Amino acid sequence: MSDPQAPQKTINVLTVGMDSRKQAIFRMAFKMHTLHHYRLLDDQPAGPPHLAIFDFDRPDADAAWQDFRREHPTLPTLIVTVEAPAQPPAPVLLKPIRVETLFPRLRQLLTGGEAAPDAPSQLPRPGQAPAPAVDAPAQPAAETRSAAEARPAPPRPMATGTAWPERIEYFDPRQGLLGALLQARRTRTPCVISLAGSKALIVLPELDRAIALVDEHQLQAACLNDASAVSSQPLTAEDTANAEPINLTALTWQVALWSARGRLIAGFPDQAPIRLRHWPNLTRLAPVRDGIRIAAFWSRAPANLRLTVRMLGLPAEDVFSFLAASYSIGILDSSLLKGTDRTGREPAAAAAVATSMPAQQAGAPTPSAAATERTGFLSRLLRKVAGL
Amino acid sequence: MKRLDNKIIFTGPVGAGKTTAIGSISDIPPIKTDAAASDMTLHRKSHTTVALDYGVLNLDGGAKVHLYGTPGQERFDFMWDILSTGGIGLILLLDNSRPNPMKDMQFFMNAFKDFLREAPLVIGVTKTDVKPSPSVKHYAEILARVDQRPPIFEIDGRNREDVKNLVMALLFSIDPGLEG
Ligand SMILES: Nc1nc2c(ncn2[C@@H]2O[C@H](COP(=O)(O)OP(=O)(O)O)[C@@H](O)[C@H]2O)c(=O)[nH]1
Ligand SMILES: [Mg+2]
Repeated sequence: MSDPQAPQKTINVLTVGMDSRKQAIFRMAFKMHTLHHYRLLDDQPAGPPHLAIFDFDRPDADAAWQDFRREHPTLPTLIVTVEAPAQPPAPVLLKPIRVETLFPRLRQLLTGGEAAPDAPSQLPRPGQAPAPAVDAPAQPAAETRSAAEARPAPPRPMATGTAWPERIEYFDPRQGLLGALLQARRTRTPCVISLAGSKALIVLPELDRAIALVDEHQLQAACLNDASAVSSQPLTAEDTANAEPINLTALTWQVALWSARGRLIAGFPDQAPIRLRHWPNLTRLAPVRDGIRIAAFWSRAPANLRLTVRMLGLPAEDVFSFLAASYSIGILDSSLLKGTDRTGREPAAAAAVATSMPAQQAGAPTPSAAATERTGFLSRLLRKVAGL
Repeated sequence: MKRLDNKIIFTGPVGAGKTTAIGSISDIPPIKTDAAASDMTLHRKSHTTVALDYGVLNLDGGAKVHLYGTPGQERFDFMWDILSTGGIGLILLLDNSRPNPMKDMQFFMNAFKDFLREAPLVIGVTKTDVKPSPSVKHYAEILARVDQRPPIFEIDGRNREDVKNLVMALLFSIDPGLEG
């Protein structure tokens, strides 16, 4: 703690004028950064702050700045704002904040180095979807970060979270029972799906209903075998059933989970930004571990798979399963997937942090400092509710 | 000691299941309570109290999370001031069996729009067992058109798991990295 400049020591970061949602962004950014161990002081009020990040987007910013400087006259401070004031009293980082620029800036602050002037023309405008990869170097995420730090890039274990798997298992959602269901949904054609020659499922896409002619275990067994014989014929007048119709979306979600089993959709680019068009109806769908967490993450801003695994600290298998299920019921925002190539350009690390700072919040009055002390409280609430 | 924003608001039309939902997770059976006058803004001072449903979650270390259910729509003009004084978030319950639940959604989101600038929203659609349409997907797509992506689930106010999921979605909307 005595030498804030030494890498690997914890650097206490004081945030000023941020609510817990804004703090959460920095917390997650800090989590994925391993060169220095940054920590929000509000999370663990241990020792003095080493630097501060001051959110200038508040009506009383000037007065708040004066107060802040009275209390911390020499603390190295980075101002974050949508629009830089004419005479900024400290180095400015424009929102939306990108990890590529955030960490170099924090490092400059720590070493007392001159902060290079910002280049606003290169940054997406607030509220605008970040242009994928326009200004990101053509290299994978890990290298991008280290390159920005002007350091060699030794592979490092993550401080928290889980590592990206060394070997990734893939599955093809166009095959088997899932493939037949997706085909029926895409073409909106009522059909009968047969397993090994016997009729198993009537599918009525327009009604979002299906009628199972076999029991659930047989459907699941068909998914366990990637090469199982599945065929599909148009529905005829002879095809009738006594069974209760079930929800086709819920069935598709379940079949996707049975088929994926923690594997990644074949050909899905690990650098593609993922965002949900809307939340899945999680209370009526087969559970995926940490599904609510993943849905929340993918609803706030686009993030690629590597970033998701790293930031949420979840097993990649759970993220892959959730992806397969979301893809299968058609809630992935496919506009983001177009134009992403597989060579791994890197839009999403920036995007997640960038757009998670909603531009419309920038002008809103910033809640009291009390709001910033809430994380421990919210964790306790989470523990309580999860244990009910 | 600064006051924490430690309340969760349940709102929605009469009969949507607010009292029931509070009861299914609260540590005490839901009671009627009068909102504290200190929660009121000055210009509403003539209406010093208003009856709310009340429940509580007791946390480790003695902290409490207050669960408030708003009264009927007709009393609504008194309400939003109380509730705009901060909170963890808003849980909007919509009764799918009412004549125009889509319009209910607009009404409540509009009534709470100031609150929602600073706190997250989750939506629970109840009584889909009574009337399955509109589907939650339909609500979600309408919201997505105006760039709103709140968690929205089918729930039954009597089912604790469902209500738990709403609250967890609220918490992860604040911070997907939150650890319990
Ligand atoms: N059928 C059905 N009844 C429900 C559901 N949720 C709540 N209820 C019932 O609806 C009635 C009204 O609920 P209540 O909690 O008093 O609604 P409030 O006016 O919003 O407080 C109660 O009898 C509940 O048991 C649901 O999803 N389906
Ligand atoms: Mg009630």
